[in-house]
Amino acid sequence: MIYSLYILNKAGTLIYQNDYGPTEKLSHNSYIRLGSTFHSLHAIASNLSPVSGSSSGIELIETDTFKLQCFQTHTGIKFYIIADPNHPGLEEILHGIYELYTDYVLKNPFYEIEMQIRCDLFDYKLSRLLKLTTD
Amino acid sequence: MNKKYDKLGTDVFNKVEKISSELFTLTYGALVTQLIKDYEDIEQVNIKLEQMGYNIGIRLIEEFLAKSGIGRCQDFIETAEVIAKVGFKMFLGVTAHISDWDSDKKEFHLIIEDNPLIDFVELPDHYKHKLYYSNILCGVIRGALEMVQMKVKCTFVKCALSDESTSEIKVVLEEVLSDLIPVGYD
Amino acid sequence: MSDPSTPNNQMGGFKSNSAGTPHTTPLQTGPLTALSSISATNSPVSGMHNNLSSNNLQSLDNNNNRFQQPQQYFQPQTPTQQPQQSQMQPSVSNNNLGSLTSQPIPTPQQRLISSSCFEFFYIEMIDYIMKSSSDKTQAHKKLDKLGYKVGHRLVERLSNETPLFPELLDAVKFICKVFWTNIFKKTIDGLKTNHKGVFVLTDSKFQWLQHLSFDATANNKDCSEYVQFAAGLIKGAMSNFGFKCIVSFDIQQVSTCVFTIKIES
Repeated sequence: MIYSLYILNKAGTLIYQNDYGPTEKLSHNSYIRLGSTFHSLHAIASNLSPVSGSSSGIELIETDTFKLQCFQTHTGIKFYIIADPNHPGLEEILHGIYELYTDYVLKNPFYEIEMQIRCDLFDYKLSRLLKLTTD
Repeated sequence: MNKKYDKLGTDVFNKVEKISSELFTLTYGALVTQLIKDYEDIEQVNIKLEQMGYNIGIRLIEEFLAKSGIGRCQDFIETAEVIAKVGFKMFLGVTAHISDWDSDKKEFHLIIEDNPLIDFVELPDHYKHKLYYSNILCGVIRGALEMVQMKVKCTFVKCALSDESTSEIKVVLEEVLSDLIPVGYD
Repeated sequence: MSDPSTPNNQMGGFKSNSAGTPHTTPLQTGPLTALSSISATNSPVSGMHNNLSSNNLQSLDNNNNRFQQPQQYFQPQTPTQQPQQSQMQPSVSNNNLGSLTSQPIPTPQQRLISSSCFEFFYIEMIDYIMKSSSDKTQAHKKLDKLGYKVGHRLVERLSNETPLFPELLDAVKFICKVFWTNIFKKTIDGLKTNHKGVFVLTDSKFQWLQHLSFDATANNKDCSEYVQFAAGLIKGAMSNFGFKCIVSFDIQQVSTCVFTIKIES
């Protein structure tokens, strides 16, 4: 069961958020806050790493009630999903989401880079991908 | 290293959706002609082509990263190889060669022997050495690299349409935008 | 690049150069109004939609049954071309039209590029044209003209191996099949005609709109500029076959595009 997807742009601003499972609906501002909090946590975690040399930043957060998996592109965009703790294959799903982003957001001439993603085809393709993986 | 990127380039190109290049070549030619009509100064046309390439590059890079799965390049030398062997192959179906590195390894020449943009194109004499017909490629490289935090300058040094044997682009690394590097990629 | 021995140069007096056919009234190739989806009730051409069953004018289907039959008209330029090509002489005499059917001119190796490459370029080109035009109408005119130029030349290269089209219908079928496949990797899904010079081509999954979408709440969902170029392509192609026409289009639900060719007699 995948609960939600968040996409952050390079600056750490939330550009996309959607829910795919039974989860509490928050206000738009709360989502924005959640997004920027994650962005900061991600940055701090990388700097706090006890391992010398570079650390990748947060990739996975596991708790009793959920699992959060994050994928950061080399261009600085972060995709992260919140799913149930036992959900397998989140990395491939994130990769699939990245490909959908390149096809349905970046190839959409009406989309402005770094801005809020409002593409109904992207929404549709995402829900097909994410609902498919939960079955 | 050479073989690895050659193979990757071919593999990715085999995976992607392809179309015949004629439409692209002809449409590009029509656009260049339109630009020449719109801007009487050829230098403005060159600039505009580069700008358009930049706009393409900033979007194209994500598809490149997503489909090729390429990780972070260790150095600029690797970046050059990746552009020539994977980037060009994946989109244009041709590989380019790298040559003429400078001593600091911050500058190289990209040689394109077989450029699909110029198929069957003949440049009138008064445009030779003035119009950089494929200047859009310079912009694409610049835009794409900027998104992975490298600021470069690309210029055409040789154009096959101006009676020279091949097309050659000079790529100069101006700076690495280290404050923009995504966390964890230092 | 036009080869003087290609069939098109001999089409009834029409020259296949891009300076040829003048541009027709731009507003009629506009996306939203006139000529869009000719309905049976108020169209000047009667009974068009009822004409599906008339002799060989049924809708094209993707298994290309229709094109197995008229072998004497043309051989579509597909990878499955018959092996007789290897016996062909490359030179063709201008006067000997009859020999063209058995002696196709070998075409250069087809070069491939990724379709994303074209798509990204296409988006940027449309953006440039829209921004460099004073208004939408002018932008559409420019796109139509650009499409015309490209279509005209593209069809010349594609029909290198095919003999002359004695009939209008064959030219249209060529566009629906070979031309469309070269550009979009699929054929036109539906072809209708009233036999009086009007053809309606339906592409139910128009390639250049596949990745395009809108804000779900948007009121203005006009993406006609992304289709206008294709209308120009058809017009240019038809003109190179010797048929001057007007091409308009209509975008129907999601990504179905209906192009209407109206031949100017």
